[in-house]
Formats: sequence, structure tokens, C-alpha cells
Amino acid sequence: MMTSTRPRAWLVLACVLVGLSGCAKAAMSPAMADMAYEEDYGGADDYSMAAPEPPPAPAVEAERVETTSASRGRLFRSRDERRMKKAGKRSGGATNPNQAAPETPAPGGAAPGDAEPEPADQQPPEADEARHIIYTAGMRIAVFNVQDAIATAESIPERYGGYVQTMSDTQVVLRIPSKHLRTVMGSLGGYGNVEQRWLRSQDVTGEYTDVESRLKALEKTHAQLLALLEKARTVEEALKVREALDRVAAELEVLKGRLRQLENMTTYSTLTLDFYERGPHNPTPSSNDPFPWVDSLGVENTEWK
Amino acid sequence: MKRLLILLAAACMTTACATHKLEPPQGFAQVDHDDYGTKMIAPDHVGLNVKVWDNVKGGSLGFWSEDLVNKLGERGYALKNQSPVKSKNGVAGTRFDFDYTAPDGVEKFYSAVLFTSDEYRVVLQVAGNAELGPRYLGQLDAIAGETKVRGCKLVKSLCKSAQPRPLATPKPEAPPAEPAPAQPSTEA
Repeated sequence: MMTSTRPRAWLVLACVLVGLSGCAKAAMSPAMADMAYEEDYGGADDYSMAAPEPPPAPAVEAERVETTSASRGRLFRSRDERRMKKAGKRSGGATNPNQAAPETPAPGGAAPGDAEPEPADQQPPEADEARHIIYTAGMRIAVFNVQDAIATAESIPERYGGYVQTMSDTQVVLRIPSKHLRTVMGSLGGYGNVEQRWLRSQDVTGEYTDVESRLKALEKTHAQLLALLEKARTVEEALKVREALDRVAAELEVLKGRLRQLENMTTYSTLTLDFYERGPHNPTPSSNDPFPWVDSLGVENTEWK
Repeated sequence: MKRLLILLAAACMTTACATHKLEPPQGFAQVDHDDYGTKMIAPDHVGLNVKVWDNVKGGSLGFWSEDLVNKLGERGYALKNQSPVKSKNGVAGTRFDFDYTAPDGVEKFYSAVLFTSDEYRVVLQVAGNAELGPRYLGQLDAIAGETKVRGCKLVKSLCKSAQPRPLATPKPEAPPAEPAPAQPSTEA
């Protein structure tokens, strides 16, 4: 009896061993795939600017969009949305209302209830010409060589336009044309481990429109005052008109300056890049040497003194 | 059958657990020993030691030899000779002799013998002042031949790795050219 059960026991043991060794596969479960997507900082394929909301007139409202792991969902389009979009395309029928948005945006900003502007990952932010949005973005990247990374970052304006605003040993602040911001941030993902990425948008359409209309009104006043000045009969009258004219001219200059400032701020986005070196505190070795065994060899480790 | 199993288990326990074995050669005294290293010293402060690391898949003799020569080269060790050796239990190894000048300017001799088994990579190294080199380096092959290196598998064993190709210390990078001295001004 014992002799007949022994081979069977060995067979069972062998099967268990084969089963155990066969378990190590690289296949990723759906849950893991989702996790990998969530933790993917380096790619930026799905990176998209936050589609700006219609500005609640008249106040200028600031939108803040951060891409830390907690709130990245606001900036990255969700997988479900993409799936729905794909499904819509396949059916060839009902499309995403965002896609139905006309190429020419609603004048003076989208009115409530109108179709929203196209998703930002299909259309660069500045293409929404009716809006004036200031984009401020930042990235924190772990690299092996900070100096090389700084040099690379410094050369970005040569390719995409813009300029270096400030620079230090570990930080570069760039002013990049808004239309290239997304591309630049995407390409920077390849230079190291992007630990943090954030973006803020501030819709200044209301202020821009306000300044523009005040400017027009003041220009009219200015012209009228000039006409009055010509009609002045006495010195006293002329002086009074001149005084008013000076006040209007000064105000005009202030408004023109503000308009220029707003235009500059919306045309160029501020991108702050913080680099830090991968070190022992990081899971990746600082020297990029997976086998530092030779460090413990040599005369110093052999000879006795 | 049962006796055979017990015998196998006992053999496994007694032999496979020791990573290496080297009795102190004549003129050396052992000062430290564990599974991952042995330290010995000669009266003239020449050191002889064995260091052991776990090996990895693909860690052949050629792979580790190149890594060793390159990394030591970066630290100023100039390879002057390379020769094949064999351990007492037949594991293939390579001996590397280096020239080295310490940061304080004293010239040293340094030789390392690298063995790779499936489980371990073992380095036997000897070092001291350069004038003592001829006395010790002559017996290094014999010391390596007395060293036992464990961790060999029966099939496709790394213990029979081919010898590495002839290696050379990588040339150091040329220092940046110094700027030309400023010409004294001829203007009054």
C-alpha cells in the first residue's frame, strides 16, 4: 500500500513545484494596469490642459489645477472618458459635446449653456482666442545629473521660443509660448522621474475686456477734449481743458500698460522646473551603478597599516 | 533510500553553506573570517583577503572582470597583467595585477583574483608597499590554487566560464585645456 502511494505523492509534489514556478509571470492584472496609469509621471501622453470654464463676469477667477497624485484626475482625462469617446466614435453617432464645439469660439467668451470649448489635448490653450488665460506650471524632476538637466532646460527656449526668466543651481524658470507649454512639459517627462507636476490657470478675460472697453471710452474722451481745447477762447478755459486732458492721457497710458502686461502674461506661460539629484534617499542609486561591489576592493581595503 | 537522502542533506548542509575556504598561507595569520570574507595579515602589513558577493544571473567571469578592471581603472589602478587561474576545486578564475600610487604618493602593489560560481563571485586580493610585491606576487597563483570556491551547479555552470578577453585599463579622460595666459598689455 505504501509503495503504491509514494510515486503518487512525488507526482503531487512535482505538480505543486511546477505550479509555483509557473506563477511568476509579467502579466498585469487590470487593477495593476490602472495603478500603473495613475503612477505614470513620466509620459505625458495623456497630459491635457484644463479646459477653462466660462468666466463668471465681472470678477477674474483663478483656477488651480494640480497634478499631484491626489488631484491629478482633474487634469488628466479619465480612462472612462476616453473609453466613452472611443465608443462614440465607433457608433458614428452621438459624439462628445466637447467635440461638437465649433472651431470658432463664441464671441466674448462662451455664454452659459453654449457648447464648451474643445478639450485642451486636442487644441492648444491659446487657440481659444476669445479667452485670455494665464498659465503657470511647474515640474519637479529627479535626475542623475542636475547640471546636464539645467543645461537642457536652458536650451528649451531656443527650440520653442520664449526665454529664461530666472536660473539657479537647481531651478530654471522659463517663459514659454503658451501654445508650446504642453509639448515642452511632455518632452521634459523623458529627462528623469517627474515627481510632481502642476498647472494653474487664471482666466483674465473679464479684466482684459474691461480694460479694453475703458481704453476705448477714454480714447473717445481724449479726442473730445482735444476738440474742446481747440475751441477754448481764454487761457483759463484752455488750462482747464489741458488739465483734464493730462489726467485722461495718464489714465490711458496706465490702461495701455496693463493691456500689454495681460497680453504678455497670456501669450507666454511661466514654467518652473525644479531638479534634484537622485540619491541614496531615493530607490534609484545616485551613481546609476547597480553593482557598486568594486568600491570595497583595492589597496585601502586590503593592506594593513 | 532514506540513508541516501540523509546523506545528501548532510552533504548539502556541510559543503554548500560555506562560500569559500582558504587556509592561511605561510607567513599570513587569519584575523577575521565569515561566509562573506576572510582577512589575513603578514608581519610586514601586506594584506591578503577574500571577499564574497552573491552572484546574479549572467554574472560570468568575463562580465565581472570587465566591471572590475573598468571601475578600478577609474580609481587610478593601472592593469599591467592578466592571467588565468583555477581554484582548488576547479572553478575558473582570472588574476589581475595592478600598479597603484596611493594619494600620499606611496607606490603600492595590488593584485586581485576573481572567481565566479553560480552562487557567488569571489575576489582574492593582496596588497602592500610596491617594494614587497615581488616577494608575495610570486606565490599568488599557488594561494589562488589553494582557495575553494563554492556555489557551482551541475549543469550550465558559471564555474566553467570562459576567460575574459584581454582587458586594459580605460584611458583617463583628457583634462580640460587650460586657458592661454593673458598677454601683458603693451599699451602705455
